Amino acid sequence: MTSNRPPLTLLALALTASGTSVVQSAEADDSAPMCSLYEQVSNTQHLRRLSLDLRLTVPTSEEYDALGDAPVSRDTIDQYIASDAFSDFVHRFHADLLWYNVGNVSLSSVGARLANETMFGDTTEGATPGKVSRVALRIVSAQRRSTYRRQGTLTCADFDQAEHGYCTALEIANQDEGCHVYQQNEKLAGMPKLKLIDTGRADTIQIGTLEPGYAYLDGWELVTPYWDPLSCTSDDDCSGFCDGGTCSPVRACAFDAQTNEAWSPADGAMDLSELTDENAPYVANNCNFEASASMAGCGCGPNLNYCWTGDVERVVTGQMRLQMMRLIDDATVGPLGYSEMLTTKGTYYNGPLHHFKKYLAQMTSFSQTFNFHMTGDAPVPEVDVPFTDESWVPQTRTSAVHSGILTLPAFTLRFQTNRGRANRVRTVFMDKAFQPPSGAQQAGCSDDTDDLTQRCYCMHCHVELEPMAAYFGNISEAGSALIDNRALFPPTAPCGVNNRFYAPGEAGDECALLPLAYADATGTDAQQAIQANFDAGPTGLAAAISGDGVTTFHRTVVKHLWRYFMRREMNLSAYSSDNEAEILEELTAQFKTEDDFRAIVLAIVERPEYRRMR
Amino acid sequence: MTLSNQKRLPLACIGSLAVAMAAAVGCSSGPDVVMVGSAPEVEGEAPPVGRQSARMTVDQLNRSLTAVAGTDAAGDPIQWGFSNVYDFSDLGPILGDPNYIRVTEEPAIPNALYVKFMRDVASNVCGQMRDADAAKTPQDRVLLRFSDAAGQQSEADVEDNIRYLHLRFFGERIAEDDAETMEAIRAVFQTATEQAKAVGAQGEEASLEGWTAVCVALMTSPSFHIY
Repeated sequence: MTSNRPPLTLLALALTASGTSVVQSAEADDSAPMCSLYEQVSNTQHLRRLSLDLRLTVPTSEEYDALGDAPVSRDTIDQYIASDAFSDFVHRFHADLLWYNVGNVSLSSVGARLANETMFGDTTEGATPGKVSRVALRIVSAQRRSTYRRQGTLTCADFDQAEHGYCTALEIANQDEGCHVYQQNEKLAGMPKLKLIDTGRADTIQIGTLEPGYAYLDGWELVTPYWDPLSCTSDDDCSGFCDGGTCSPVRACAFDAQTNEAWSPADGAMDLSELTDENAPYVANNCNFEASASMAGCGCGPNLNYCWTGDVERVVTGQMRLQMMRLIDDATVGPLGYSEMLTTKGTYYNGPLHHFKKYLAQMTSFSQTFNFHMTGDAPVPEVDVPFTDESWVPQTRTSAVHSGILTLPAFTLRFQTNRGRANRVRTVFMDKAFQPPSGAQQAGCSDDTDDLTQRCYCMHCHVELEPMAAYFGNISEAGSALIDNRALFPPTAPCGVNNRFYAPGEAGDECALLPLAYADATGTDAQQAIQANFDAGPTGLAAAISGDGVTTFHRTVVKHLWRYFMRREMNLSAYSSDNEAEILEELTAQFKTEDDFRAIVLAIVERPEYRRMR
Repeated sequence: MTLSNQKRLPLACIGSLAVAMAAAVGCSSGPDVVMVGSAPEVEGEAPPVGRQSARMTVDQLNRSLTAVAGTDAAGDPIQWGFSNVYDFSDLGPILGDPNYIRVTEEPAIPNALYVKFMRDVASNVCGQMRDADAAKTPQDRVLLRFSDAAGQQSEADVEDNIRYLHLRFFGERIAEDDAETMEAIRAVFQTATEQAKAVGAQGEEASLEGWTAVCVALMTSPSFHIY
């Protein structure tokens, strides 16, 4: 017999690596062998297909040799499914569904973001006015730099702060030179003693009797940062020193390197205690809090714990993705049933994510993402886990709101609105998609209302979307923090106080928590469902699609798997005599009963359809 | 139900990556494929439609290249790359590899851009394989697997090498009576070898050029990319 492979007569052009061209005949004749549509692929092609689909790579020559002329054995498929490479398929398959990449999400605010900048030369030591080539880490925020140095474009000068000294309370009170230019209400003993430096800049703001171009500046300090130090071969590679092949410590501006854990409130200072969760790591007057950015006595804390670099942010978002993958592993190749992916309280943490939750999350501006650690989250260890320790430790989330992957940051930050989250779940786990109606009925609706379940045209989708979105109401939009503490986040609040979480709606004169803005116990079905779904939370949504007797979730995942392995949709047309509705029911029943991802994959690749050529 | 000729496709329709591109995987979608030739009708109930053919994803391609190409002389996996400038991490998104931020799904269809880069990939990877083989002992070689201890190949060695590479790249054995496939690959090998000799290459070096050309031909074939 002839091979099922195509003849190579159409390999029209082959280039050697050196660029020599080899032109071959380019015509296929009519007598060329034909491939039957319903023919099975050969044993070796079957092995290749299985390997590519289950391991994402072709078999090796040795594996073809081992197969010989025999059909692919069940043992071989079992080995593929048990292999580490199968996890690569699992991750890819679920990434296609859940898009868990938050690498573009901005977690760090400029008020706590560090970057290197060239320092001003120490003109008191004879340096030429202007900047010198050495760099130091300093916080990016112009507001913070202005708080520290009275001008948002200034950075520190190139002198060792430890040698120059720090201000005592007495020196501040006496307004001794170097301790006299701090702003009111921001004075702390131990703040850097400043030097009068000729910046060489005409635009330097003049304070008091300073000469034009001069400014009082802090120096630098050497700090051992919490993050993984850069590798180096010489001091020139580092802002600090190259020690044993790594840059440690780093050089940071003295103001930014301050280690105070709390600022000292003076009269009229804001009291942050009303904002805090009693068990949260931040407390009133804490320098490890976003609002401390306006306090000159607050820096980045011990080991620069409270501040980010770009590399740190990339590590954290990368670990969020891996955290999601760990949970998916548990539900696919690990000990959990597949549907527990949606319901488990378990999760995993490591050094970067612990550090993020303990120190960094509360340094992010409310106008960006809200990721505070809250009661009910996985506990933050009292003893710091090193940021460089990326080993995963199982943790339990105790809040009733937490529900599998649905409340992981990689999901809630990837889909930042409750509607977006609901839409994603509806699409990938409920096999539904929102489509605008072609001929919308416009009776019984309004063009004016902000309630989209009532608004003409919008209502056709939003009457279902808004109640679904309410399931996610206890997770911050544009964030991953729980907002289920009703003392901190009451259902209603005076309008204008907190527009981040509250909006006008059906709550009369007061504003309502955003997810509840259009909840109405006496309203339409959709309005009534909002409060119920809000109370049920993501756990309620998981139960609605995968609970006892409900096959929506399993049926939809079977269809996704079928599409992946068969490279086509299932034929479910009622008008087709060979439709695959029975196969879907059979596979769904098996998956629902066993809740075993590997088993359902095996069942699909063992289907006769999988071996056919097309 | 009777299967008509219209249900059968010419093998040639998947004969080259460029043609497959032109047909826009028409082999699987049907209507645009030109039907040629004739075939006997098949009687009986037609089984349901099976699996469709599809192009490897970029991720699969990246992993498969390493599996096919083996290791370099230093023992490191051969991967596509030019001086660490172009590789799949840079060009994967252009070829459709999703990052799940801007690109969220990979159509995995052969298009003009894919074909263009696969030519680049094949030239680069096969060149690395040639260089690696040149530094390896005969039994460790990937491209020039069958030869004597001095690297010389008899006609039988050439045929064995063709069969071996066909299986390694395509996952398909050449049937004993499939002279057409054998001769097509042999022609690529011989032509490239002769051209290499014409510019001064000798013996094993010329053979390696020939097998490099075969490698490029196999790696740019749709049979490698579509499964």
